[in-house]
Amino acid sequence: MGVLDAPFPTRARAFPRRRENGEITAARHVDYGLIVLPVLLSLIGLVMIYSSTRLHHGTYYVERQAIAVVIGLVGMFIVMSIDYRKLREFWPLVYVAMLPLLVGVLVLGASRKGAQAWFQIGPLQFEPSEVSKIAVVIAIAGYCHQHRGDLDAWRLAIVVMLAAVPIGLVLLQNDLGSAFVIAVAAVAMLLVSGIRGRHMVVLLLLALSGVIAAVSSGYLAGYRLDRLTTFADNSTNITKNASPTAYNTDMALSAVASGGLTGQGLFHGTQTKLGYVPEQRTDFIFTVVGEELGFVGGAVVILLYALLVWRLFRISLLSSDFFGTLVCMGVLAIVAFQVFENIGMCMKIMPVTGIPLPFMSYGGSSVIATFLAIGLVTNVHMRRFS
Amino acid sequence: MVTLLVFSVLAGRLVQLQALSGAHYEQLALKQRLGRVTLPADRGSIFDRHGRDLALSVQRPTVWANPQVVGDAHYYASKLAPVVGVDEPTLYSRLSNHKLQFVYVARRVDDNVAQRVRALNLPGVAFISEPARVYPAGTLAGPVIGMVGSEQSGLTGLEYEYNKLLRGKPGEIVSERDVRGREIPRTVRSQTPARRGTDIVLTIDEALQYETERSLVDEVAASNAKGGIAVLMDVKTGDILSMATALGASNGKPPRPATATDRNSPLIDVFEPGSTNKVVTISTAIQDGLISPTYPTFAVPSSYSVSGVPFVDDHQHVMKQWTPTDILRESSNVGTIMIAKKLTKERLDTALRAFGLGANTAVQFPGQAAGNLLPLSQYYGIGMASVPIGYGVSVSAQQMLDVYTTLANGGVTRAPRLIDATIDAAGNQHRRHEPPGTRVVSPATAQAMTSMLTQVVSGGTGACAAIPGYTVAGKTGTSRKPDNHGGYMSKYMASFIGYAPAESPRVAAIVVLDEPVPIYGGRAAAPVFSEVAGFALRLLRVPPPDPNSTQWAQAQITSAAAGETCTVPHGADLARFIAQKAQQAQTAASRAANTTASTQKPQAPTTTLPSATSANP
Repeated sequence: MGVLDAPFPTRARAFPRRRENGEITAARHVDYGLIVLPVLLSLIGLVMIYSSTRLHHGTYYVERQAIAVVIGLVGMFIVMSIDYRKLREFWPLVYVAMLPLLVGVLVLGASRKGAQAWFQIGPLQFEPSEVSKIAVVIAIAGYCHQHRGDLDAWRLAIVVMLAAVPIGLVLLQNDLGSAFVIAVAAVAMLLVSGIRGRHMVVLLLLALSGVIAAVSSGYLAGYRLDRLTTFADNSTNITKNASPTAYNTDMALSAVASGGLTGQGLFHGTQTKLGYVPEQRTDFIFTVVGEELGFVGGAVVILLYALLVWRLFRISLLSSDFFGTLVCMGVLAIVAFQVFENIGMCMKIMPVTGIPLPFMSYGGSSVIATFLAIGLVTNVHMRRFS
Repeated sequence: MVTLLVFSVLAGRLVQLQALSGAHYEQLALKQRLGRVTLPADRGSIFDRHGRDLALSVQRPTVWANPQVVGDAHYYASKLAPVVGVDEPTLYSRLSNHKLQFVYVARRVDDNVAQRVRALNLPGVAFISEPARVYPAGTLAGPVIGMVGSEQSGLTGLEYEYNKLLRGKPGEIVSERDVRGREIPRTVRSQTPARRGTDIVLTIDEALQYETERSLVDEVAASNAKGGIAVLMDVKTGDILSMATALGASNGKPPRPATATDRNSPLIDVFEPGSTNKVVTISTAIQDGLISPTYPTFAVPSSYSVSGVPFVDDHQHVMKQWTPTDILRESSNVGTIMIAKKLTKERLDTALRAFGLGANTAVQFPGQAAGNLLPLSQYYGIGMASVPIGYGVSVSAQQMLDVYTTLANGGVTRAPRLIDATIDAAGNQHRRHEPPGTRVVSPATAQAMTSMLTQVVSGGTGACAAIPGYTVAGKTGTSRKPDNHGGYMSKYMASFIGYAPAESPRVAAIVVLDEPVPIYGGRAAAPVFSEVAGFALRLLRVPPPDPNSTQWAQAQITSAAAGETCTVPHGADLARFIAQKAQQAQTAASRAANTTASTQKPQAPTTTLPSATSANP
């Protein structure tokens, strides 16, 4: 059942293995594609953020985002330079270090737009839930690596707890989107770890009953439920009087659709420039791409993400150990799910939740965290021979 | 792989949205961005027949306030109330509504009021310009012209009837705007300028209208009537030169001309005409060759019973030997019923309708009343007695005037006109054409009726209608008002309808008074006719065909014999003046003739007076 059951022939074996010692060897095996793709996406993101904010804010947002990208890149190289296998033993440390951040933000965090998910540090905001995604991936990968092939019900329960605690804390911040991302990553890693079929069924049933409980208890009511169901409503009702949850979606949809084949031209998107699309520099950044660069631009962006995911998948197969495979799978799940959910909601095939588009959405925490994750995967690729 | 599927779905949706249904959404998006600004159109003016303004639109300052800026609403209200003339509690409740950002303080105030408000220097109080309707002649012809509501849309009268013409067509600017509604420069998609409303030129003469209203109100006051109606028409063109309604004293206020909020009675209100309707009966009998003005002679008793119902003449008299002329002059009910016996009810009904009764007049006016004619099936026994003398039918004053205009016009109906022309936004004048008239009676019959009607004035009930220098043809009417139970009250409508000069009719007029004292049309209504029609004839520069005022002199004797005093102001002076002028003209003409004869110039001098006995056109 596990993905690795079949013995994949790895391309690397076709080459003579040069087992030389130390970091120099590892540095030779960097997957440049994995670095170039995020940088490309970040650059496109910067242009799009500039396009959506230059009229009223000049270069303010784009500068801040550029700084985050640079910090992310630096962070990525630092992560790359440290052997990821050390985390096989130290994952509990990472995991435990994350928890106070999530708890702390509930107490000390700044509240914005209904979610209390940010630390305000001077002019900077820090969103711990973005980092917690990676920490959970590392923790589950570490635990499942230790108990490979021996994932009984109790151990499964521990894995579920590893995911459930941060999910719960993130939900307390009113950040439904991040909770989803963590859950998806956990499920993806469990599948790779060789979870038994009936355990999976039980887990799904538990998740289902959790959803039912959430709806019936009233937590998932009002705007939350509306948001999740609006996308299934087929009518397009472009007026400000339409239901407020439909407004976001309809505005995004009309913007993307007005792009046509080649778009209205960079900096010339009407719906986005005139402020009809809300949150366009963050969660709805793809609408700017869609409207201004059209199908060509949108397809290129999706293609870049597809390539990125393909690289992540390939590395998960090349990994020299099971821990590395799991980390890659977790990161893959996070990136793929976020891309699908985010672009999907811009095109009304997914419900609207506050999930950023990796590398492109404005938001330093997300960019830096994702770069760190990519650094981790590159790390796995670099050390596949050692 | 799941991820592969995921990306195919994304790509597929992108194709679907942008390549396949892009145009649809693009349209939706454009529609959302497009905003319209309406450019208001100026409302057309209303002029009298000489282009004098009766109604026009001007821009007036409107005072408004932003309650969210207003600090102390009490202070504001106390300062503003005396200036703008709105009471303080009303102002306070408006100004203290802090949910709003716009409230009216006073709309369309005068410039000096605006200036005084500006001098108060209250923050949060500002001005906008709004179109306002102004009536420079005040309430003159108010019920005819009507009025507009606060949004400049016609509510009554001609303002309502011709609202579509007057209001013009608002223009609009369509441009793109952002999410807050701000216009985006250089995105104008279309710009339609507003088209000014059409101006309307009435047939009303401002001066004559004023004189008519004044004279009517004076009479209403003098006779203590509940109200009065007067309409004056140009027989040659059908132009309604004045149309007046007067209201009697009420609640301690003196009689006054009706205003725009009152009913335009000449077209809207109906009454039973009474004796004035006798001309229909008699002219129809003459037209059919059943009688002539002098033949036969009827033995007319004072009272006459039809189907057991007694019909009496107004003044008791012994059995008289009266010709039809005598019957009309004395306004004998019994005599008219005797003439009507020669007609069938079908013939009488046809004649009434041919004269225009029972149907709307050619004038377009909101709420116009067509009146009621007695259905043929309901004539029963007394129908042929009551209808010929003007009972059991209801008419409007304008309809009744049209009957007499038809006789004045040689037996051909003359459609009344209230709108002379329209002037479109480009300044082009378009004359309104009314339908051509239809012949009701022959010219000979009309001529006969005219000479009979002149006797009504010279030696009958209508003596007070005489005008010095002119010959008046007309008829009085004094009708009981119906009660609500099918009977009649001891209350009267007094009327006089006539035209002058009889030799070549130029003006026709109706005067109706509601419950005057004395009750008779010859006493209450005829003097108003004399005054108003005399004024109109002089205004229209119609030369006096009878410089010796023969009819007027006769009428003076008649009314004196009846113990009445008709007070035509300076009547005798006027008669003397006319005679003097005519003599001077004659002297000048004969002198000129002598001069021509001596210098042997073949050309004959042209007379300034048209032939006094010229036939009707």
